[in-house]
Amino acid sequence: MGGDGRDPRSRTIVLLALAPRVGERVVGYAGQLAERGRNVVLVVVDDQRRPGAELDPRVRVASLLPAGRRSTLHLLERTFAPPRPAGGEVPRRAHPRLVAPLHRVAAMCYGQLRALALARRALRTVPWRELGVPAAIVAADLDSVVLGVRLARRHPTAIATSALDPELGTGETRG
Amino acid sequence: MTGSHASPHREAEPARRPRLLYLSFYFPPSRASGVYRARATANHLAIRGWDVTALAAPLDFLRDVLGSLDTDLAATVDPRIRVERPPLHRFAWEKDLRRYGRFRRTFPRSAQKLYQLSQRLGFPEHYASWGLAAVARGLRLHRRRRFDVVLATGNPFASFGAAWLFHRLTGVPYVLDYRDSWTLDLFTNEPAFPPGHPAWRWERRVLARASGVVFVNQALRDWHAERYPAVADRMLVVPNGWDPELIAAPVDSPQIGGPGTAAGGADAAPGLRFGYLGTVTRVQPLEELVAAFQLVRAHGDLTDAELRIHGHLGFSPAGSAELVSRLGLTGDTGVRYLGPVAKTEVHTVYAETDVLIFLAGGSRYVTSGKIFEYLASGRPIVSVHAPGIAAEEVLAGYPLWFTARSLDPAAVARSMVAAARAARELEPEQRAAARRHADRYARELVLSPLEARLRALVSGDRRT
Repeated sequence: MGGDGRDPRSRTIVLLALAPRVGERVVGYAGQLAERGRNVVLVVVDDQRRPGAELDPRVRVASLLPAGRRSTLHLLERTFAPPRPAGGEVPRRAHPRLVAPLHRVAAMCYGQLRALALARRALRTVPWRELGVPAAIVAADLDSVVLGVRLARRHPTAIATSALDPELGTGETRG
Repeated sequence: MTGSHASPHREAEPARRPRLLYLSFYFPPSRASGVYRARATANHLAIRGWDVTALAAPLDFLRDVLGSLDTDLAATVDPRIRVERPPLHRFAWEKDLRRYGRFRRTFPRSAQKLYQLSQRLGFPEHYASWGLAAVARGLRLHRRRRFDVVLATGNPFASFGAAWLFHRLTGVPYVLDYRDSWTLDLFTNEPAFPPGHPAWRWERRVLARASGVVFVNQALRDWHAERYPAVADRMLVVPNGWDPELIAAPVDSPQIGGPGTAAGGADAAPGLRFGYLGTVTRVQPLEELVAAFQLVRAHGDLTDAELRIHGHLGFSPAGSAELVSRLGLTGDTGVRYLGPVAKTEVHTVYAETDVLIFLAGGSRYVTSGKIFEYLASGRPIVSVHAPGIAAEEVLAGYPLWFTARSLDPAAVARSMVAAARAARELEPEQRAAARRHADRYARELVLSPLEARLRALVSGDRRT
């Protein structure tokens, strides 16, 4: 998969988008990279958050929580960070009066730890070898930072950035 | 300095130059648009006998984050000026994941929350850490040798906060120079922050104790005076100006459409040369300019005219692709992009341009520093901006000003054609009249009231 390491253009750009919703900005950016001939892999939390027709078909998508399996992380995600419809609010669940504040506190705590939890899971479940040697790792949101940093350690020559730079991987920019 | 302690100091004072702490984040070699006023102010004060210490942005921030250094400009700073560069925390700008600290790369959301909290409880600007570092550095220098007055220029407005804090800690009076607006959005004419935002509290606080507040035009002064009437009597207007040492005297007979360009040399087009010099930004009426220029080129004797764009495309490389497209640089439009020009070389561009295009975004509060250079060039100037902006105060009376008072491409095109005709038929008397108008805005002239205000503060301070 173009992972020979000789031509940076042929190598993969790993675009991490682990926020509860993959925003239009990220989808558009993935399309821009694909348009420029980059080999882009968009990593999302699960298949429910996989962008639809608006995503450039040349962009491959990898989910770190495969469908059909159950785990604590699946449950936490469903409870505290459910997929959000584009442009919409998180659907509010009706909680009993005493449960609502507890839910809020738990959601807040999970929100702070979510990036860490997702990164640990992603390193185990995503078939990174199959995706190729990354030329660049882009953390598109705060929840992707921990995974971005850990992948950067595995690939010391890759650019590791939080900037959505369309020229990324051309050799014209770094980090 | 009071009572019985005053006498021994007074004996030594005549030999001592008044000492100024200048809080100016953007200072050469920065190429930020506001840097020329800062450079000129510091140079002017040094020439007038002030002992100036400038606290400016760290060089690595200018180089790595802004990617904007003009080393030639740095060479024009008076060598008597001491420049110190307090550090700046780059949380808001750092994009390289490997450079994130341990806490941020483990708990990015918590790190972000804490940062936002520090902005809300401390100073509401990403440059706040620089302001604090500037105060610390200033105090260290002040302990060695006392500063007499502080002059702070914004943006960033952390410099205003730093001047206020330094004053609270030392009693040294301060003057604020609003090179830019803080709480007024210059492009919408609306407040830049919602009610209750900490910026309002800080602006009120820093203005209340300022010994002087400077604005670049009357419209901005009036807006602030209306909101802070208690400070109105300490407000003054110090317009921008042009720097004679950077802008050579206008060339008397531009060789219309003659050879020689900043980039082209002998292969330059033979037609009349319209030119814009400055940073091209998203808020400028670029489409209107390009459309008007196409109409100009349809005009019989201007078919081979060129519109040359000199300067940076945007403030960072990220937005340049959009600007390339909006400027019509990809088609056969007669628009040529010739790249940035060092400040020390701009006189060459003026000498090789027949008609200058004054392209400005924004509203009635916008003057633009570039217009003063334009005046000094003695060339016909065509306005391409919304009518009623503050720059018109400066242009009014300039004999070679052509304005459609509209952004309608056909009207702008007519102004451009009229300016082209004027450029071809320019008489020495017209040029002299233009120069006389420009002389009113020579930098040393416009800065004199500020210097006088600072000097009065120093003498007042010493009397107490």
